[in-house]
Amino acid sequence: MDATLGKMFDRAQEYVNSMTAFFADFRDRASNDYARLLTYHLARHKKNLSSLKALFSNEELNRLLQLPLKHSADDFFPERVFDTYYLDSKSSSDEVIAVAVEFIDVLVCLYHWLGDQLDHEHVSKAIHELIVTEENEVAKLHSIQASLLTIQ
Amino acid sequence: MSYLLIIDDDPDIAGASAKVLAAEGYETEIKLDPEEAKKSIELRRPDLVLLDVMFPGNASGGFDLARWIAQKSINDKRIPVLMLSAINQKIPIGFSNLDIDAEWMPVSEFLEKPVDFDSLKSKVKAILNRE
Repeated sequence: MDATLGKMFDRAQEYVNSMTAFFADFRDRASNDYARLLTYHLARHKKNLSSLKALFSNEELNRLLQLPLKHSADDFFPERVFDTYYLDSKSSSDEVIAVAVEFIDVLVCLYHWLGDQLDHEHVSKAIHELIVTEENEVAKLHSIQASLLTIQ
Repeated sequence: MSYLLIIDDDPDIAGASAKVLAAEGYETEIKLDPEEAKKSIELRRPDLVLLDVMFPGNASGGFDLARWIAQKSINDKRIPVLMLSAINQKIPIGFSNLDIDAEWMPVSEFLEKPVDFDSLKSKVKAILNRE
């Protein structure tokens, strides 16, 4: 199947939406209030990809979304990670952070996989910024984890 | 006269905010606990809720309550919520207006504690005019 940047962005957005749904499900079951607090922060991820698209005009974005990729979007199955992890109602903030980091790592891999196939300076730069945003998020989660140790 | 409900477990902070806003001509009520606040909201719909994030025994109590308040919409008209929080001083989590989201964080604005009372007055006025 022919793959385009647009199809892969759709896959990435589906992945992020699934991640948001995963944490929404946990939020509504969580008995640990600090673990639940973290879910409110993690919901921010769903906006990152939209922010990238907003960097381009509608006309430019429509053109860019048609850019062909070397590999089919069907070659990548990021959502399988959601079958690997489970948070029960008593999960701690540490466990939430550990799962979130795994999910973000998969997202970063997906963005790298996508970026490596493109030969377009502006899009490659925007995807690189997205990767940096997600990597900074992982660093931030570790910093949050350290501060939670002192107040819980 | 607009009716403002202030929900904060710190009576000093809630009291100071109430005093400043009452001087501006608003009717104010203070609740120190989210569950008590729910009862109050069921009895009388506030024009604006000023809400803390962290409560004793419930670090996400303010956000949980904001979602509950959003479900109290009448004809799609939500009760506006102004979050007043010091959470970013305790945890490097960086909650801000960027987190506002219809499903996850249905609030109008964030204001960092310690609250500058001139900012508080202008935010309250702006939200009430907008909503």
